Amino acid sequence: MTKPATRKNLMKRLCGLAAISVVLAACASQPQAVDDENDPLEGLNRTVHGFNHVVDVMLLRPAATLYRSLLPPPVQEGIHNLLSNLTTPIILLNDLLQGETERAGTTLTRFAINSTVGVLGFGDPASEMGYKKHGEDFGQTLAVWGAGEGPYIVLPIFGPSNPRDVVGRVVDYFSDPINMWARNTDRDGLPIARGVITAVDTRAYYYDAIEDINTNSLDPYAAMRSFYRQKRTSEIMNSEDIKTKAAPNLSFDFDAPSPGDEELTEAR
Amino acid sequence: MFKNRFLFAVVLTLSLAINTAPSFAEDFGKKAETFIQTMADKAMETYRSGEDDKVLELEFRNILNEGFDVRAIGKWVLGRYWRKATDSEKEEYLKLFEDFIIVTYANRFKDYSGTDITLTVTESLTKNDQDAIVRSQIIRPQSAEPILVDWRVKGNKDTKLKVVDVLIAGVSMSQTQRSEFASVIKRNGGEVSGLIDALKSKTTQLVSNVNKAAN
Repeated sequence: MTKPATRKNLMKRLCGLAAISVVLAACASQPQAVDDENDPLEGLNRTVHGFNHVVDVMLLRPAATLYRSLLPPPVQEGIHNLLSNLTTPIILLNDLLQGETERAGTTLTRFAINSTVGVLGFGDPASEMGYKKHGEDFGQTLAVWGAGEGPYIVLPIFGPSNPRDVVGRVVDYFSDPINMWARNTDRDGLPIARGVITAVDTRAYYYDAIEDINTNSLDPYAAMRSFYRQKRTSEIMNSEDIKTKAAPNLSFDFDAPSPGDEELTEAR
Repeated sequence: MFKNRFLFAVVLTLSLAINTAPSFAEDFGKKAETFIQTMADKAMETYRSGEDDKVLELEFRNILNEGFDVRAIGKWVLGRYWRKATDSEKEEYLKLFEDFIIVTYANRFKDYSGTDITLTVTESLTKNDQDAIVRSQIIRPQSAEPILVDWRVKGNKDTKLKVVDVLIAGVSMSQTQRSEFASVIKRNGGEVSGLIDALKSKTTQLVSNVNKAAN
């Protein structure tokens, strides 16, 4: 099933990547208006969303519930930390691709501290030393490079996404050294097992937020869509660390219309 | 002589005030920070008092009504449909929205504010002397990773501070709601009445859930 990743193969892959990047960059990013849902495939997306909801109710949610009831919170957090420690290569690679050398340094330091003092990443002593965690992925790199997000898409099982993030996901999967190693040594079960554990961990991690949407929302589909798009924008802008930047970097536009602009809602 | 000196003092004070005008915005930021911290402390104290759910719900309602500009949020959340709504629809909508937001936020307060939770204001950014974002961290005992919560605070006409938006990890609750409401209206043939019906049944359902949990 698996092919050894020869140099030729790798070249092919890289070329493919370059081609995809060019295509994505071509649909240059445009500033998104407050009310632009960017969802031309809504009908199809809603169907997939419905399917995902069934899968969630039947499989993922019970698994996450069980996981939460069986494991004490510190163990859950340890597993969560361990899984994020494993994504270090991806974060580092994308820090570098985005030219964020300072963040790349943080990523490396975190990996060194947490893999040793933190017992293979189970603990996160690096955070306490001031090396805060941040995420990065190829979808974000493409955004930084100027690629637009493209229309909103709901993927089966994986959930909310867009063409840019689909490409990002695929690239992240193939550039992950652990996955590469598993492919080359015929350990196909490993990435699958990791995927399953990650899915359960993620579902358990966002348990309350998802319950919140499902109980409080008038239209969970629309809420998820807005949630996903805002979250990605905020991640791309690296808005968690405004302190380290000279200019205040916000997850949203301070000048965008906001509640309390009386004239805006009435006079427009 | 005294009069002159007094005048001089007034002029001096005024000119100083004018020179330091840009720092009014910073002052507003500081004021907003205190405002959020005080409100959060009050909410957590209420929670720790260990009253029964019904009393808690009432207390949270008061805190929200006091600290949030629910009407402004409601209007903005309706977006471009605000203009399309008839006067009676506007009135009915705002009333329902108030109930809806209070029930949902009270639920959230209850769900997220465990006994050992702490909210700490970290910094603020000001746009002008009536508009600021207060950043805070919620630290939970079960996790070392804090939740980042931003509060958009504006000063209203009576210069009273009001929260107009809450952003959790960069996601605006008002923006999410706006997008949700627009979707509900669109799916009901562009009629605001469709949203009003949906709000009515959702609020009733949420309130009955709370009552069920309380009994």
